[in-house]
Amino acid sequence: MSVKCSFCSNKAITKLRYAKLSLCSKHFVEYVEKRFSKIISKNKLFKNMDKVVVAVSGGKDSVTLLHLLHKVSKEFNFEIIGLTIDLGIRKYSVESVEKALKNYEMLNIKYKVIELKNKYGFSIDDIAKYRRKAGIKKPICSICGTIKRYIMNKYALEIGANAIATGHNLDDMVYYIFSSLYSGRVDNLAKISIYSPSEFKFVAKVKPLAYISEKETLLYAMLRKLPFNYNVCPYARLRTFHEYIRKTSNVLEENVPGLKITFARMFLEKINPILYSHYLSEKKFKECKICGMPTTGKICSFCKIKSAMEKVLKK
Amino acid sequence: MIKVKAKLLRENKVLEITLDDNARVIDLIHKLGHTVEDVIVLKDELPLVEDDILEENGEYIIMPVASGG
Ligand SMILES: [Zn+2]
Ligand SMILES: [Zn+2]
Repeated sequence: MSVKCSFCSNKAITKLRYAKLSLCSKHFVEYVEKRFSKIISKNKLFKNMDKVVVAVSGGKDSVTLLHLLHKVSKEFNFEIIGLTIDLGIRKYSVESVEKALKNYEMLNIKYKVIELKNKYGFSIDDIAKYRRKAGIKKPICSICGTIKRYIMNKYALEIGANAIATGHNLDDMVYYIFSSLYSGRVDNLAKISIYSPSEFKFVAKVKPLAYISEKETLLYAMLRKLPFNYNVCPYARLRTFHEYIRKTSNVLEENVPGLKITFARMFLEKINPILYSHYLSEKKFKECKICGMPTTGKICSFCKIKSAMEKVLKK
Repeated sequence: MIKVKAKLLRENKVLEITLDDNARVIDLIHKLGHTVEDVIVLKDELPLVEDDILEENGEYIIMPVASGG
């Protein structure tokens, strides 16, 4: 016995418990596209924007984001420029970049690939190997995040883009909110937003998938047969805390359908704006003495990583 | 009781699982220690709904959702 689609007589391929709907392949794809478009309109994500950098790693989330944005880019009247960073993580990066490029070509989208090793002299594999020797204390995933954000922002600034769109999904949002609450990092909480306006030399950031779950982005990419890298980053295995939170929030979601969306929405709509106004009055940005990009100290965290790695790699 | 095969995509492992008659996809998901949000269950390349009833000797692919990216 099998479940039928709520909108037609075809067999359902998923049940969206939060929406009380069972959907066939065609109606699921339509549903996601409609919701995506609604999220953009409601949050005015691309208002007065003509050029948007879309960060595409080649994984399911960013590939889904690229295709969904491509669909709405005419309606909302902006141009998409793809940005892929080759992080130099063994075979994982090779496959990721290859998948990203396939999607750009499918959609005929302008894009740029930035090779970390080539442009800055070190790769994420180098960081993994020499991080301790270089005196870098932060975990590898957090270093990688800093590097990606720096490169994305710098590139978007250089080409005069209005915003950077990233593939952060609902599960990412739930994790960020929870972990920032847990560790009491109020400034982090203030920054978690579906839309962060530009300020100083920071280009605006947009997370249009913030209310779309990881399972939905995977289903969308699969059903539309989009090329994406399904492999897990070899360094992600080290994130056991992240894994516990993800698992636990999914247990809650199974028992209370819609919990993840409500949790994220209540935080983003009600709590974040209060924290954000407080945070804005506190932070003062300056230009990094080395690269000119924004920092609160004298030297930005990217330049610190880069110079620490240069010292170790020279030996 | 019925027997099904569960192919774990990430681990590249096949498990033989015994479940009650009329067991549903959700029972298989729980037996493997997951929730419906954690995995997509496929049969003949099509995703299944958690309420679908399992078939005796059916082969099911278990595809974890998390990419940890
Ligand atoms: Zn349908
Ligand atoms: Zn700098």
